[in-house]
Amino acid sequence: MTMANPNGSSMVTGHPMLRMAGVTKYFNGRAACDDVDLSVAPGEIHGLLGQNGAGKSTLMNILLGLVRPDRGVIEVTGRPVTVRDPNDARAQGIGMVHQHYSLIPTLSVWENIAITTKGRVQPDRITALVNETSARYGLEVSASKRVGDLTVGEQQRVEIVKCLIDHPKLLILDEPTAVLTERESQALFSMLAQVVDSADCSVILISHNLAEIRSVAHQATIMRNGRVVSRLAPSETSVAVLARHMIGHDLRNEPDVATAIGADAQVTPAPVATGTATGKPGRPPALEIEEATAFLAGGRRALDALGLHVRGGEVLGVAGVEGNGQKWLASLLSGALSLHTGRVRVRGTNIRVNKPGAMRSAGVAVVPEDRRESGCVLDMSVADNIAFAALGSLARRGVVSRRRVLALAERLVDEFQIAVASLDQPMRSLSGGNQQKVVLARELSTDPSVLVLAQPTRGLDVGAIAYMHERIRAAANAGVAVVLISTDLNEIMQVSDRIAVMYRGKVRGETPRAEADSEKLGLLMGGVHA
Amino acid sequence: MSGLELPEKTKESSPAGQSSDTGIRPGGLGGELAAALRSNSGPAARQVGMFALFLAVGLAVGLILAWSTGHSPTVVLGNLFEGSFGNAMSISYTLSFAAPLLLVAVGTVICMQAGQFNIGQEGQVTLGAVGAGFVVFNIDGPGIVVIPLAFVAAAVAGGLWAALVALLKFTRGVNIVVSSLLFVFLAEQLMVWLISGSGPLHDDGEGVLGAGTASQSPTVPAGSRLPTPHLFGLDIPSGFVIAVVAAIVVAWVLRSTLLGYRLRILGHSPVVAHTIGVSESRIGSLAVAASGAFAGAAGAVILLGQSFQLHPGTASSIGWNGLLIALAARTKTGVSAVLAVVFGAMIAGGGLLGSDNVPVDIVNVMTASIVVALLCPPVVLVALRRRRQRRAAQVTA
Repeated sequence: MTMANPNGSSMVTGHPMLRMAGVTKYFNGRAACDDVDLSVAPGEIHGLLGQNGAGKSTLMNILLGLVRPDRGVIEVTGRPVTVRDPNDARAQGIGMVHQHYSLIPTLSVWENIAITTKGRVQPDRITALVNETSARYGLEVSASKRVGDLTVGEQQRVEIVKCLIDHPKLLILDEPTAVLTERESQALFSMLAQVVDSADCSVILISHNLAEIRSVAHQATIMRNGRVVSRLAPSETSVAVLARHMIGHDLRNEPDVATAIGADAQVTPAPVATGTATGKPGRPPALEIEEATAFLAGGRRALDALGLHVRGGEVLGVAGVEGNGQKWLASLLSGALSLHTGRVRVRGTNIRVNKPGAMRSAGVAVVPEDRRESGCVLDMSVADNIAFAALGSLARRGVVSRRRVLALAERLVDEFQIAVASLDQPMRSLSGGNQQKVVLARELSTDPSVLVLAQPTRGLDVGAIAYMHERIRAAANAGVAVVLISTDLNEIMQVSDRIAVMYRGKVRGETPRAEADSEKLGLLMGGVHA
Repeated sequence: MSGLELPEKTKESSPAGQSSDTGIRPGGLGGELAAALRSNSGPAARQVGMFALFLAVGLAVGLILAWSTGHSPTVVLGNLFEGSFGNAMSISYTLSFAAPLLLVAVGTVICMQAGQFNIGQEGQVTLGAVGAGFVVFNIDGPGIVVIPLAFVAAAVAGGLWAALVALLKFTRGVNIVVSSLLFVFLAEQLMVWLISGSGPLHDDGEGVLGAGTASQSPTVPAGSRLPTPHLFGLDIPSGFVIAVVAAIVVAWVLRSTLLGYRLRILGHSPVVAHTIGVSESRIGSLAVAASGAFAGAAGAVILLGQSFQLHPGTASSIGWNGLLIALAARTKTGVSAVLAVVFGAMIAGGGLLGSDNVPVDIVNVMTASIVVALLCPPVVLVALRRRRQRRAAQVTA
C-alpha cells in the first residue's frame, strides 16, 4: 500500500483534530473505559486496535454521544465539546461508518442520504451533492440506484458518501474491510488517503487486521481491558509487536480450571488417551467439517471453505475476533445453516446439514450463543425445556409421559444443581446462569458424541463460569468431542486442548494449547499467518 | 349474564403467581406483553378483578347506548337474560349458537399454538357447509350414516381449503395472513356459484328464505338434521356435545401428546423446533389443515343444526367470531369454551331483543365491549407493573 505518510502529523499547526482525555466509563461497576487518552492529529489516519471488550466500541459510542462518559473531556480542534447524541456529533463534524450499515434497502441512494438531512427534501440538490462528493473521492455511487440492489462494497461507499457530504472533521470507520474484497479494500484505502490529504479531515480506523493497520495507519492506539496499553507508529514496528500488545502478556497458559476445582489433574496433555474407543487413532474423528462454504442473504460469505476436525475426548477451542464466522459455525452445527459447498461428517457419516433434527440425531448437541432465543422456550416450563431433546423416548404410543418428564427433569436439576422453585416454573423466571445450566443439562442428557458450546459463559457470574468449565472438561474426559467457540481468549486457553483461530469465515490456523502464546494467537486473529 | 360471573369464584382459590411479577423481564414491553398474553402464571386474583371491572364497563357502555337511543336499560338487560338463560328453551338456543363458534375456536387454537396465523376460518366454515351439503343432498340414508359422512366431508373440505393456504406459505413463501384472508372471499364466491342457477347444489324449491331465491340449495332432509336429545330437563343440541368433546380432545392432544409438544414448541420457537427435528412445513401445514377441518365441521353443525339450507349468508360470521374467541381466550381451549357460550348467549338474547324493536347493533356493541374487556386486563396489568417499577427505580435513584 502506498500511503505511509510520516509527514501527516507535521502539518499540525496547533491543536489536534480530536483529543479525548481521561475518558472513563463504568458499566455495573466494571470499567469499560478506564482513563483513556486518544489524540488524533489533522490529516492523520489513526488506527484503533483491540480485542472484543477492549473498550473500542464504548470509546466510539462516547464520541458519538450514544454513551455518556463518567469522566473525561472531548476536544475537537482544541474546543471542548459535549456530545449529547449522534446528531450533535454530526454537527461537531464527527461521522461514523458502522460495521452494520444503517441503510434502508428499499430506498434509492439519494433517498437514504436525504433522510439524514434537515428541512425540505430537494432531490436535485441532494443528487448533485452525492455526485459531486463521490466524484471528488473517486467513489462510484449512482444516486438513483436502489440500495437493495447494490453490493456490500457499494453500500459501504454510500455510507461513506453520507458522512463526507457533511464535510466532517473526523471520519470513523469500524472494521471497514471485513466485508470487502482485496481490491475493494485497496480502493477504500486510496480513497481514505485522499480524504486526509488536505489535513482538514482525520480518520479513525478500527480494525483487527494487523497488516492493514500497519500499512495504512500513521499512528495507532492499542487498547486492552478498557485501558490504552500502547501508542505507536505502526509502520515502524512489526505485526508481531502489534499482536503482542493487543493480546497482552496476561494470558494464562495453565489448565488451572481443573486444578482449581480439583476435578481431574491429568486433563492437560493427550486428547487421545482417555481410554474410550472414540479417541483411538485410526478411527475417524468424531466431527469433521470440510471445505464448508455458506452464503447469507445478500451474497455475504458466512463461512469460507472452513475446515476443522475434533476427536472424542478433545476440547477444540475456536477463537477469533467476534464476527468472523463463529456464529455461523455454531449455526451450521445446530442445523440452522445450509451449506453451499462442503461436508459435515459425524463419526465418519455424512450429515444432511439442514434437515430438521439431523444434527441432533447424529449425536451433535449444541449449547447456542443466544440461549434465550434458540436454546430454550422461555414460556414453557423448566421440565418441558429439559425434556425437549428426549421427547421421543419419553413418549409411549405418541403420548408423552408426564411422570417420566418430571423424573428426568428432577434427576438433571439435581445433578446440575439448577436452582428452581418448581419444575413447572416457566423458563423465563430463571436467572441467566440457571437457564444456561438447563440447556447444558438437556444437551448432555442425550449422550452426544459432539458437544458444541458457543460463548457458553457470556453474561454469567464467576461461580457459574467455573461450573461451566468444569462440566466442559468432564464431558471431554467422558469421551465427548467438544467444540468451544469463544471470544474470551482466557477461557479458550483454560479449557482447550487445541486452538483454532477463525478469521473471515475460515480457520486461519491451529495450534496445540501448549504452543499457543499471545503473539501467535494475535497474529492469527489479525489475519496474519503465524 | 350469570355465565360471566363464573371466573369470580376462582379469585380465592387460585394463588397469585409467585415468580412473574418480580423483577423486570428483558425483551421490552412487546416481549413482556406477549408473555402476559400467553402465560397463565400472572397474578390471577388481580386479573380476574380487572376482568370483572372491564366487563362491567363494557356492559355499561351498551346499556348507556340503549338508554340514549330511547330504550330502557332494565328491559334490555332483562331480555338479554331471558333470551339466553331465562328458560330451558333459551339455554338450548344459547348452546346451539355456541356450538359452531366453539368448533371454530378450537381449530384456531391449534394453528395459533403452532404459530401459524390462519385467519381464514370464515371461508373454511363456508366450504365445510358446502362439503356437508354435497353429502346430505346427494345421499339418501339413515341419519346415523349420513350425518357422520357429512361431518367427514365437511372436515375434509375445510381442511383441504386451509391446506391450500399452508401450501402457498411453505412452497412459495406467501404470507399466511394475507392468503387465508383472501381465500375467505374465494370460498364465498365458490359457494354462491354452487348454489346459484346452474350450480350442482341449486334448488328452485321453497327454501327457508322463501320460494325462488336465486341462490339457495335444497333443504336438509329431516332425517339428516342433528338430533337434539333431551337430557337433564334441557334440549341439548348434539352439535354442542360434539364441540365440547372436540375441545376436550384437542386440549389433551396439545398438552400431553408428542404431536402436541412438537406443535407448541414450533409455535414458541421455530429455531428450537428445527434443532429437535420438527419440520415447520410439515407440522405447520398439519396445524393449519386441522384448524380448517374444525372450521369445516362447524360448517356442518351450522347446516345440519341451524340453517338447514345453504344460502349466501350461511357462515354468518361464525368463522370471524370463532377466530375472535380463540384470540380473546389467548389460545386456551377452556377459556374458549366459556367465551363461546357467552357469545352464544349474546346472539340468543339479541334475537329476543330484536322482537322488542331494540336494534341488534346494541347487542353487538355489548359483545364487542366484552371482547375488549377480555383483552384489556393483561395490557393494563403490564402497564401498571411498568409504572410501579419506574416509581421504585426513581425512589432508589
